[in-house]
Amino acid sequence: MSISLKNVSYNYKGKYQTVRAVDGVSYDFEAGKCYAIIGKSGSGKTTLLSLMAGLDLPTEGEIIVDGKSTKDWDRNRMRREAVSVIYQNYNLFPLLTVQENIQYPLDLKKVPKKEAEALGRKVRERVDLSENYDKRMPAHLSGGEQQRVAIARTLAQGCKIILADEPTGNLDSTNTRNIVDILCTLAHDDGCTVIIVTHDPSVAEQADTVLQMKDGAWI
Amino acid sequence: MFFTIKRFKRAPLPAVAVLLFSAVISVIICALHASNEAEMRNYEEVYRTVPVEVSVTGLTGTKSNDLEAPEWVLDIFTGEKNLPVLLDGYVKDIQVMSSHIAYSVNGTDSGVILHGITSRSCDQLLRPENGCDILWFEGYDETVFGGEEMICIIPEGKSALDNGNGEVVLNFKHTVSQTEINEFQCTLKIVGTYIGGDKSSIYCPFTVVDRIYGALGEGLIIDTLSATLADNERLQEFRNIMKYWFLEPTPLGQQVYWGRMGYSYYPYALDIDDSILQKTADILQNSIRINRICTAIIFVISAVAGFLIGFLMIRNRKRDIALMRILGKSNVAVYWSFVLEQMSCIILGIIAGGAYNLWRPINRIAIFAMIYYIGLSAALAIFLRKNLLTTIKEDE
Repeated sequence: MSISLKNVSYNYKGKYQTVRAVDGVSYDFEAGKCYAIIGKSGSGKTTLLSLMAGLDLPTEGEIIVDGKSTKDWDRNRMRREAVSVIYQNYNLFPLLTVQENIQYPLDLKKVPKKEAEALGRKVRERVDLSENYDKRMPAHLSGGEQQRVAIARTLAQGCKIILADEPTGNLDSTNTRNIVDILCTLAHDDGCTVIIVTHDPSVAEQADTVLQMKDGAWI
Repeated sequence: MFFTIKRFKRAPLPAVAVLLFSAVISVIICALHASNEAEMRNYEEVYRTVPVEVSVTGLTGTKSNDLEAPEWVLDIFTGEKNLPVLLDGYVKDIQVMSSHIAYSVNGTDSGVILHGITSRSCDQLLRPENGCDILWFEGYDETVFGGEEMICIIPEGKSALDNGNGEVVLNFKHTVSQTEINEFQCTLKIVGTYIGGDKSSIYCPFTVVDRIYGALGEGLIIDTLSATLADNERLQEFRNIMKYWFLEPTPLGQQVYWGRMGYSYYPYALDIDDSILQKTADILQNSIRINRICTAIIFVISAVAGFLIGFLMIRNRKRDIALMRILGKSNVAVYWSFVLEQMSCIILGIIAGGAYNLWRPINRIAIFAMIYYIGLSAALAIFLRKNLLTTIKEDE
C-alpha cells in the first residue's frame, strides 16, 4: 500500500496569526520501504505525518492513500484499516493491561474475542514480549517495553502504512536499535510503508531513504 | 463496553462519585416530592376542616346580637321558603336565636325574656369564655337546644321561676288590634341552671320560641343568625350568591348598590370570617412555593453539575479520547461510550436514591437524568468538535 503527497500545504490558524507549517510538499512513498524524515523542531515533520494519518485535511494539495485522496476516505475507517501511528509518548491506555491495549483496535473492528486473543498473542511475540506481560499495566513497563506494546497494537491493527513520530525519542540506544529494527523488518518482510519522523541520525541511518525538511518543505 | 467495565474496576472512584451524586440528588428530589405531597394533602385538609363562619350583621358589621331580622332571613339560610336564591346548599350548622318577652311567669308579671337558641354559642352571655357555667340536671346536656323538647334552663338562685314541680309556666300576649289580643301559655321543664349571664333570661330550644311566635300569629324575629360554610372550596361562589340578599359589611355602613332593587336602606350585611382559613392557606402556599423553588434549584444544580462533572472528567481523559479517535473510533462511538459510562452511573445512583420513595416522582427523576445528560452531552460536544491534530499538538 503506497502513500503519495501532491503539493501538500497546511496552515495553522492560531489566535493571532496563521502559520504555514507545511509548504507545497510532494513525494511518493513506496510499499516495502522504510523512510526517515529528519529536520529541526518546527520544520513541519509532525504536521506532515499527522496529515498523512488523516488527523486533518491539507489546506492545499492532497494526500493519496491506497489510490484514494484522504478527502474521499472515511478518515476514521482509514485510521482503523490503512494507516496507523506510533508516538514518542507511546499513547497506551493507562487503565488497560498490555493484552487489552493490543486488542483494542480489534475490538473496534468487532473481531471475535477468541480470534482477537490469538492475534494479540501472535503480535506480542513478534515484538519480543513474553506472555508474562499480558496482565501488566503500562505504568509498570519500561519505555522500550511500552513502545513495543504500541508497535504490537499497530501490528494487530493490520495497517500497511505505519507512521512513527519520534518513536525512539524517550529510549536508550539499545532500545532505539531494537525498535527501528522491528519497524524496518515490517517494511522489508511484511511489505509495509514505514515512515519515521526523527531527530536521531542513528535512526535515519537505518532507513532506506532519508528526507529532510526545513520550514515546511523538503531540502 | 468491555473496556468501560475494566475502567470501572480499575479506577472506581470517579464512577462511585457520580453514582453517589445522583443518589443524593434522587433522595433530595424524592424528599421534596414527599414533602410537597404532604403539604398539598395538608392544604386540602385545611380547606376542608378550617371552619369559615358567616353571620348576619348590621351594615357596619358590628351589630350581630340584636338584629330584629324577619323570618325570611332565616328562610334564606334554611331554604324552607320558595325564594329565588337560597344559601342552604352552601351552609351547615345554622345557629339562630330568637327571643320573646313573657307577659307573666307562673301567673305573675315577669319581665323575663325567653331566648330560643339552637346552641349555647348563639348568645354571647351564655358562652363559657364570658364566665357563664351551666349546671345540667341528670340526663341532660347542651344538645337539648338543638331538639324540640319543652325544656329550659333558668338562672341559678331564681327559684321563684319554678312552679314547685320543676317547671316554668310562661304566658305570652300579642296585641293584634284594639279589640283582638292573642294569648299563648306554655310549660317548660327545668333541666338546668346557669351561673353568670343575664339574670332575667330563660333559655330554651329555638323551636319552642318559633312555636310561640306561630301560636301568637306574629312573624318570627331573629336576634342572631350565623352558620358555617359547608364547602370551603365554594367560598367565592358563596360570596357571589350571597350578594343577592346581603351587603358586605363596610366601616361606615353606607348604602351600597344592592342587587336588583337598586340603592337600598336594607339594614343587613353578611360577615364572612375566613381569616383563619386565609392565614393557614397562605402559610401552606408559601411552604409549597418554597418546595417548588427548591426543586427548581435542584434541577439547575443537576444541569450545572452534569456539565461540570462531564467537562472535568472528559478534560481529564482528553488523551484517551484523542487516542480512541486516532485508532479509528468515530466521534459518535466515542460520544456513546462516554454517555453510556456516565449514564449507567447516574441510573444506578437514581435506582439507589429513587428506591427511598418507591419511585413516585418518576417524572422528576427522569427530568434530572435528562438535564444531566444534556450537560454531559454539551461537555462532550466541546471536546469532540476539537481538531484532532490541534489536540495532539497541545498534548505534546
